[in-house]
Amino acid sequence: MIVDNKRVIVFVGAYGSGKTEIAINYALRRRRLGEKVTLIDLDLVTPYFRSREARQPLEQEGVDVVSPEGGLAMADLPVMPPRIAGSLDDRERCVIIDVGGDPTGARVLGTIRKSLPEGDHDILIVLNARRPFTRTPDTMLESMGRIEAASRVKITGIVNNTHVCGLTTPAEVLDGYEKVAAVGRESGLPVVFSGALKEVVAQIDADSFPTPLLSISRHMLAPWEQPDEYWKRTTPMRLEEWE
Amino acid sequence: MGETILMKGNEAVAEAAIRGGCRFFFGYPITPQSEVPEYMSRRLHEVGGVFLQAESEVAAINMVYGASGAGARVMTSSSSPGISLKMEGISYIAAAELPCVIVNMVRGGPGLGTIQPAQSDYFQATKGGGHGDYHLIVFAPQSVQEMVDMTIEAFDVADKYRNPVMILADGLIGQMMEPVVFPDGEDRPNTEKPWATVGMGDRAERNIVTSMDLNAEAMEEINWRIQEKYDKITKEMLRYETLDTEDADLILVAYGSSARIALNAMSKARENGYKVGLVRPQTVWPFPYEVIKDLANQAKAFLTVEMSMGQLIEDVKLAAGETPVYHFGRCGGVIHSPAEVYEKIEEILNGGGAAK
Repeated sequence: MIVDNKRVIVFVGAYGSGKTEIAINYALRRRRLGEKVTLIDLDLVTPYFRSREARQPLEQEGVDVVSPEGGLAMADLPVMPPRIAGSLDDRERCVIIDVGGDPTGARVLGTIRKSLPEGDHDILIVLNARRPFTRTPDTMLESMGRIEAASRVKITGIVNNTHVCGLTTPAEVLDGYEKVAAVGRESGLPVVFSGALKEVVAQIDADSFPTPLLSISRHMLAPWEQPDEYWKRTTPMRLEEWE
Repeated sequence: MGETILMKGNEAVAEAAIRGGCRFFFGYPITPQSEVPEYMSRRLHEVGGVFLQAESEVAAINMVYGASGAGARVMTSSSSPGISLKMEGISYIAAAELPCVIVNMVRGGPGLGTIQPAQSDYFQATKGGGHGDYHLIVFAPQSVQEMVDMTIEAFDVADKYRNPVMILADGLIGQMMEPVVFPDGEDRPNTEKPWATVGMGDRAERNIVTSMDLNAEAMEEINWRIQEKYDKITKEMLRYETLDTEDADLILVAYGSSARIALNAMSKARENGYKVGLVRPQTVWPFPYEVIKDLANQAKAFLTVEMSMGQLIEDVKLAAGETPVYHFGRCGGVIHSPAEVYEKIEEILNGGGAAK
């Protein structure tokens, strides 16, 4: 993937576009490519299902997670995580930033925009054509414009993350690509990759698909969606243990 | 049916309200339901409706009272502490026999509590909460799609019985994303409301909406009339689901997101040879007492699975007779895991543990 050449990758997008799963899985990709990776949870607006909740599996794979800690980790307060500047300055590290949704969530990006390494970062917008407010190229462009205005950064690429969870077929991913490609033509931005659940990626002929594919393993799961390994644990895993 | 899209529970309940004909929304933000007013603020004006962020929950519920009295299809939403603030207004609305829809995305309590999911507002939703002898009709969806279907219907139900309807969900259902389909076609039309306070028109008599009558005998009459309506609702509005109860030794009783966790545990128990079934109330008022009563003749025990210290269990015990009823719950915002529910099932069926 072309974006693998950049040291810092920032994911923005409309609320619920799938930034967190994309950021987690992309961080794991870079880790598996052999890099030192830090994932910064800069989502200050969403109360549940944030990347900090996947800290344990990410750290097991050697990804450093930077997020609000201690007593405020589970609060709905705009707490800036510590160590942001330090992580961005470390030239040996690939840094992935998961930004909160919508212009409201993206605003915080403005405060760190001057710390992003010149010429060595990408700001990627995650788009899901099956989400209520980004179902057409026009509304996608509107969402992009509002996020850029709030965050004071220029988006440099597009991620197609069109899906309907477990009901997704390759047809949705391709249909979504066609919509985001129209956004790309209008804005002059490249569609850098498409994300899809690994079961869906397995049904797609990667060579003929118009973009590279990022295979997604879901980390934000409801309690009844826990995988089989879950049952093998002697002590049940609880939400607080994800801390 | 329309295209399958991906929605958060909070967005879906708001869109479903619009499809159900809701044109007025009054609310105040609180986690984990703030996406409901946010969505309404974005969408309602597109359909000619009114979104208003009130100065407080108390103000919001009184705006609901006013709009409903004028015949509108109207909704408010909040989460636990905010619903407590609305209680006075809810009692007034029930007494004045006005239709409206109230959403509660329950969070951990008591007090200001946490922002994580809970089911500890069951008593408040089903047994009053506000003052006086009144009932809400309470739907308890277990998925985003079910919440959509129930919310669209809720406006017709509220109008039919001239009674407030509550959608009782929790932070998990509000925040999680699932694929949903909305029905094609026009939004549901508002019903004819000859009682609404919209001016005299051609009528000879004034329409009055009030919850007050200082004559005790007259107030008792109003109570009798409302009770008759509740009897009718009890017969007509009961909804529940049973699963694998036919041969079950142990029957789980759970609603909402707890029912999905209970179902996981139950599947595991069945795999391991335990005869376990599930009763899932889809309305928690009215409650399926008769269903539990019938099953009590056959089952060895019941187990309620709920995100509370034990509220649903009281309704189950009312119907279970001599059959022991156990309880398993986590609370304060902690969600039980399927594994710990399974452990409780094993413990009961192997003769351990005491019924509550």
